[in-house]
Amino acid sequence: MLFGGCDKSIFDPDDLMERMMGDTVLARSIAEIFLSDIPARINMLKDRLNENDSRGAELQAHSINGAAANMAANKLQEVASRIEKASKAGNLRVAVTLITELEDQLSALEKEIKRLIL
Amino acid sequence: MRILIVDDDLSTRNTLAGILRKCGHDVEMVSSGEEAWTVISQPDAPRLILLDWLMPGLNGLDLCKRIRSMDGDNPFYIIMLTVKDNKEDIVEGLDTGTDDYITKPFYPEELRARINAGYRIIKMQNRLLSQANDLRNSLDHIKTLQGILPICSFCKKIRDDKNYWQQLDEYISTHTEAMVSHSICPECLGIHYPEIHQRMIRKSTEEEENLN
Repeated sequence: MLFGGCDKSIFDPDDLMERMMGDTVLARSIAEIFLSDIPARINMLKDRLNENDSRGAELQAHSINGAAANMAANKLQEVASRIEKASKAGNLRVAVTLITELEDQLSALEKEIKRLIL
Repeated sequence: MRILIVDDDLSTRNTLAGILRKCGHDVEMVSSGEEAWTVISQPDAPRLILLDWLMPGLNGLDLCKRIRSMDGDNPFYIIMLTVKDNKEDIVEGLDTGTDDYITKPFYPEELRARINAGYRIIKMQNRLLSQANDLRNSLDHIKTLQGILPICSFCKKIRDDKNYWQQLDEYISTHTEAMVSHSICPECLGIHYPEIHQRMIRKSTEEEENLN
């Protein structure tokens, strides 16, 4: 399946379809699971940052990083990876400033996923 | 084959399960190291485990150490899941006892090939284990026959380890794979059935004369 007119750095549907063995039903179901689960993950990340729990924040950011990689959501993955690294280094202030960017990337991604595959 | 997926991310877990089911595998999923440990502790646990490295609570690395400390004759095959850019994690994971790794995001072909490689190892392990068991059983029998057998000088009965005197044929049947077929040798035939013995001697003499 070819998807035209999309910003592949936000969401790469061709890459996702390749990794779902071309199965659109599987791809849709994974996208729905992702979109329903990820806001709770971001909230947990915020909680860990508010508690100054750098290890907890690192693990939550890591989980979002992996989920975004799985969804072929490159920009979201990149921001999550930056939060993970900042948390690991104990720079929680830096991590907190990246949360807005993370949420913006998620809403851009959600629009693209809904427009292209759901 | 049966595979256990351990990952705290719901969408990754379901992606793995979806692809592996399409490849014909039987999949179980858990979201934490603690839940995985409960499954793995069961005697009929899946032998192949796809294990996420970083998870809250009991993480993949510590779970792997725990599994290796209890591995018996039939060890688990563990494939570690890591995010692409963590090369140091991969080295540490392999050093700790994982058998292989897959980086996220994973591609079905690579996943399929690595699972198959694991399946080959598990099959080979099972075959070796069953051969080792067969050998162990054979050795038990060989040992029985290699020991000193107390035998009665007159009736030729054998004393077993429970101090019971057994007939020789009975002893052979119960302690070896050999079967006993009963017959009578010519000397005993002469003692116990002299008439039949005489008749047989006559018959063979006649046959010899006829030939000459």
